[in-house]
Amino acid sequence: MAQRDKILVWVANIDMRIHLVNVINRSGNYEAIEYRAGVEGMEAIYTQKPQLLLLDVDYALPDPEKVIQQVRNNLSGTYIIGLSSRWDERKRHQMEEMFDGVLTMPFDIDSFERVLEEAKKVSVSSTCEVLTFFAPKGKSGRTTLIVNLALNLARLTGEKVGIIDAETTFADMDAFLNINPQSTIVEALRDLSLLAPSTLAKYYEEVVPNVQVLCGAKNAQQVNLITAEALTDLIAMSRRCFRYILVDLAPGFSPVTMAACEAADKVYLTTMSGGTFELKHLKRSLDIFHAMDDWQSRVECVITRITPEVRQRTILEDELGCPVTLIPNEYHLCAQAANNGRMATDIGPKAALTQQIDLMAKAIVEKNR
Amino acid sequence: MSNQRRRNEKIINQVLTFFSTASATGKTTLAINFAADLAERGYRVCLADCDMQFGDVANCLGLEPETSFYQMYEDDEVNAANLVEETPWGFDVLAAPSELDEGYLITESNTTRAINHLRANYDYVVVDTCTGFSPITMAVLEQTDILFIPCVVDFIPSIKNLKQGLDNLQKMQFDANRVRLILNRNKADTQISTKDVEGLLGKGFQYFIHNDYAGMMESIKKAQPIVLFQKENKVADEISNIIAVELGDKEAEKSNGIFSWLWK
Repeated sequence: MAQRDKILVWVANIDMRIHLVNVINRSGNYEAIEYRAGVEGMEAIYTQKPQLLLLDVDYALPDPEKVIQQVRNNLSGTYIIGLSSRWDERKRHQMEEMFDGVLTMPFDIDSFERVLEEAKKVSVSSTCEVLTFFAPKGKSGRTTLIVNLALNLARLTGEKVGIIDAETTFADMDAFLNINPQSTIVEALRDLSLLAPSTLAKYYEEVVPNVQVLCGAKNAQQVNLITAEALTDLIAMSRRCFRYILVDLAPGFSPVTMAACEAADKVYLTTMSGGTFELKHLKRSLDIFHAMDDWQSRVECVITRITPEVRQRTILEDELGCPVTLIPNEYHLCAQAANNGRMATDIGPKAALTQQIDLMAKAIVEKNR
Repeated sequence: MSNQRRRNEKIINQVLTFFSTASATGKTTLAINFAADLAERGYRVCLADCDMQFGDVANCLGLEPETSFYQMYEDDEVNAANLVEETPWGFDVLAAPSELDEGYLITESNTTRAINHLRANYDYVVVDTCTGFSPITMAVLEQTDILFIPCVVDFIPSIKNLKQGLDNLQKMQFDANRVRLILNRNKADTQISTKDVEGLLGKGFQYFIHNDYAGMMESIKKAQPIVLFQKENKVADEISNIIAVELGDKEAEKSNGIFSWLWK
């Protein structure tokens, strides 16, 4: 959080409110402001656009979930720390699930900054980059590409990378990684309106240090929960948890896949080169993306199962009018990785496929420097 | 049996659907060759491409149809049987739209209506679908008599998806006796054995089609069904045998007379 960021102190008791504002302002690092309105007047808080809101949970009673949901809907970029002068264990646990952090009133500046620091750890970056992988048809190698690219991005930057498996046909990230996640995108979307970024992060499963995955729906009956609006909200909140987010999608155009592409900073159109009509479908898909004003800076193509020759890439880039990455065919390496829940980049670090994904990761990092 | 012989007989009205839980398992190629083989046996056949956004039936056959499923969306009164394109191979095609935005607009009810029209006019409606349980595919499944599921044994995650797909069909109460599992590209160079896959699925494959990538690519390049133009080809032979087995059951039932209503 930058120096002198605005903090709203929304505490019921006037003496406590003034005391806390003074504690924070004496540090000289923040601009703390008293906020006096009750729940009925809370709309006024949105015009203040604070970087941090200190919310007395007694204000939120009797329906704290509703109040927090309203605040989050209107202040998506604001940290919210819950305050109470009388936490009991059950209440504290409940509130920790909803807030970015909780504090007991009164507090000193050290306690305040410690809690704020914890909240900031989750929100590692304000410049999260969302990379969405769209494919006209399946078998484009999206999942292999995404997991290995995520690993490389984490290794190159030392920052957190998240994967969202938003496949609505057959989500198989868990099978690819050989993990049995405690929660999936279904639970995250179900609970999203009550979550803070810090608690949303717990729904992601760690694959390796700094790479976490939110696995897809475990059965077809659950996919109805994955709506365009819900996925957009999930991506927006996840931005506060990761430096990069890679989103895997079901093949083809649907409200969900289009919403994910719209929410992305970069869309990778992926297809395999199977010698039939794959490039024709890629071009047809690309035509749809031309509707984006900034498609030329936002859309790139990835063609898999093709020898990555410079001349071939140049021809394709001229033909498609956007940058193209070529990923070679390494069936046995990919099968060995997928069948054993391992990363291709670990099994065959010198393989041509690994090197191409490594180059792709470096290009992504370089562009964001 | 020639086309002429079937013309005076009662229409069989069956819907044969090709469905898969993974892409590139050979759905379109098999659907085309099933349609061609059935047509050559004298049946009235329409091949319907229900992969509305990225259907490849017209591409594979080198067709440029002027009408498609899109007219079912545009016009509630139109009969799908009037939208088909005749092919030189004795069967008709109802193509997927050539424009993506048209494919996006087609609804489940448009699809159901079209399949019903075709069923009323053809012995066999062979349906190609997109991968997985899309709303359109669900509508097709509702109309399906026999469901062919071509599979390729390549990655364990794909096999798990197939298992999940079969479980979903069971939950949808799709009669397991109407499902045919086809192992396509049998004996291809993969790391998983067929026996292991069958163990994982808890179900055996009914049919096997061996791996002939070059032959199938040549067929696609020439826009010709392999069962008609490479009759000595092993894959062509295996496809014809599948159809003979399926029809054999029916012909036997038909010859019993009393059971003939079963395969109407």
